[in-house]
Amino acid sequence: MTIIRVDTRTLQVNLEADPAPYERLGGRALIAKMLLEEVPPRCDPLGPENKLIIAPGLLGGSGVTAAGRLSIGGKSPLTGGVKEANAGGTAGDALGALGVKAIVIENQPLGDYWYALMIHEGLSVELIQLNELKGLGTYTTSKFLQNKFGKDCTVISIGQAGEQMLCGAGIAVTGTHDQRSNHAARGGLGALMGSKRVKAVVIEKPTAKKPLHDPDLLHEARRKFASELINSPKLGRKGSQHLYGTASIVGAVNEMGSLPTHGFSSGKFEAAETLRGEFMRKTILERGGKIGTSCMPGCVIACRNVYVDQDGEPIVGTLQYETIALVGSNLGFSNLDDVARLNYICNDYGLDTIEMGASLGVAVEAGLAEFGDFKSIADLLEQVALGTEVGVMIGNGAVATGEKLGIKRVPAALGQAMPGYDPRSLKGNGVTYATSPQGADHTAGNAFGARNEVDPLGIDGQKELSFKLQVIAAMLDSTGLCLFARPPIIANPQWMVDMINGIYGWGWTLEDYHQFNQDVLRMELEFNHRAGITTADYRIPSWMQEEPLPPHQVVFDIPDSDLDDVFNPLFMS
Amino acid sequence: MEIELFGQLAEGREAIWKEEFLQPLTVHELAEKLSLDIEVVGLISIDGKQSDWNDQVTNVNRICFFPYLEGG
Repeated sequence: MTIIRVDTRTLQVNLEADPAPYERLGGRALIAKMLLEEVPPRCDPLGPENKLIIAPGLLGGSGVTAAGRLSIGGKSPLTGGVKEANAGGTAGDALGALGVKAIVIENQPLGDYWYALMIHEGLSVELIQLNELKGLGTYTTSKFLQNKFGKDCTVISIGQAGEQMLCGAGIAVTGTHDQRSNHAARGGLGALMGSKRVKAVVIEKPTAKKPLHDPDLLHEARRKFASELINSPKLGRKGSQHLYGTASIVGAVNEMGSLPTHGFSSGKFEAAETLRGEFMRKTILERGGKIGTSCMPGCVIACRNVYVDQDGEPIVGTLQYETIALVGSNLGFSNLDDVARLNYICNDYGLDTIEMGASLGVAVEAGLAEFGDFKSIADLLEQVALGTEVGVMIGNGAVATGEKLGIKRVPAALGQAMPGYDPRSLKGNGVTYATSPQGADHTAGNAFGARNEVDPLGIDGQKELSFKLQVIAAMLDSTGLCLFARPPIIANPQWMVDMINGIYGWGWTLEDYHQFNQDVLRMELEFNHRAGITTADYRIPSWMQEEPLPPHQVVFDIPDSDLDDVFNPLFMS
Repeated sequence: MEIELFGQLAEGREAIWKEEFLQPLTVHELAEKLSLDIEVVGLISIDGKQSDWNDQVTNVNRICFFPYLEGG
């Protein structure tokens, strides 16, 4: 496996054979290790010492279903700590098949010149000055580059938000069939990419196959894994994710009183009926859109959609739960068309919809717009691309917006906005938001999928549940596996061990697998510690411990001592 | 009692309705009366709170049956 290093000051590109510290690592695990080894923990996240690391998971390019997610990471401009965000699309599988372990973008150019990095099959790599890309949104950027380099190239790009180095900026990744809106959205990594003046990375579609150590072992394990997903009555093509998309959970989260509503002032949105996955499916099918499409080729879950307007013209592909929660109910919208249009704007500017939904909610509380009023909210969002003072404030995220406007009710932990589950009524997620080295991030350990194990409104068992989920998430993010594909691996971890051994021949045991997953968290916590993040920073904001959340009238009441103890099992042996 | 079915549990049938029962019954008994595919049910709530198969439900409650769901 090869590491591609790009020095954006000297414009040199070097290819490195797999150096010793990074053997047997991929995706999030590799990012954590590289940050510890190479990035000064207290450096300016937008300065030359930080590095943007783009890394496929260990399974990338090996033909395992739902396992081609691409990890992108660095020191977060938003949290000041470790950050890994991942996206679907074709980049993870393409880089895996090309034998690329990571692309590491380093240093900082002196002038205001913008570049695209082109990776050809055979690993000839060019850094091309393309100043004409400056100022373009992600949709136009990826179309431009695919016209130039080939329709089936994968494009990883930033929009205007990343160019301005705004902390709410994410990174877009293309997929097949003109799909342009997979996003490694969280933590401000688009700003980090913009600080390197790299507008895009283009990857030629590989024809080569990933070399396999023991093809039979891999094929058997991946066949069993895919079969479990396909044949289960609750997963794969028969499951809710496929039928109704990630929006399948809107009704349940709302019923349980955890759906962010009107600036996190309620957990229940009275008009949620028309935001639900069931309604979305019906609307899309009636209008001639698409449901059940895949973000990664060969995925048997296929939870994406193409949301279209009344004339059947695409507004956005795909409309997902987190966006519906943060940009929909949280901003008082009950019309999916409004949510889809705001989603498109965020995607094009290269903005995290979770961070923007929270920022805009704070701005509404300060009187800059009105809940449910499309024009006033879209006007604020559009200022981000214009680079106005208000646009910069909104684009820098919820905490920055709260500080600027003097609003204390900011739904964020470790500087990052909370996703679509209010932690007061889904307390396991509150523990994850507070303690994850990634900041408030549902994908770091989402307790919603584990409701039956622990009472979401109770205290008991939450820290243990969050710990278990965070370890599983570390595995998913390091192997490139989608979190919706986690149940079969949780039930049969030997399948993952066999897949890894089939690809690499490492002779992994189940013990190695568990150790690997826990090591990811150990490394991340260590980086954050060195970055100056203390236990006092791993907290849910005090207003959520005081302000009861309707309809259950609950506060976040997990004791600090429980939060402090979450990761004790990592350090007991 | 108000009963609501979500997702594929409501396919081809009414999604929400009210029904009276002569005496309290367990969630499991109710699911059987409704001919729900129990293997597909992943979450149950009574009055917005997570519930289990053995919990009792009465005519004053609102009960929801959800299919297996993953958050993400």
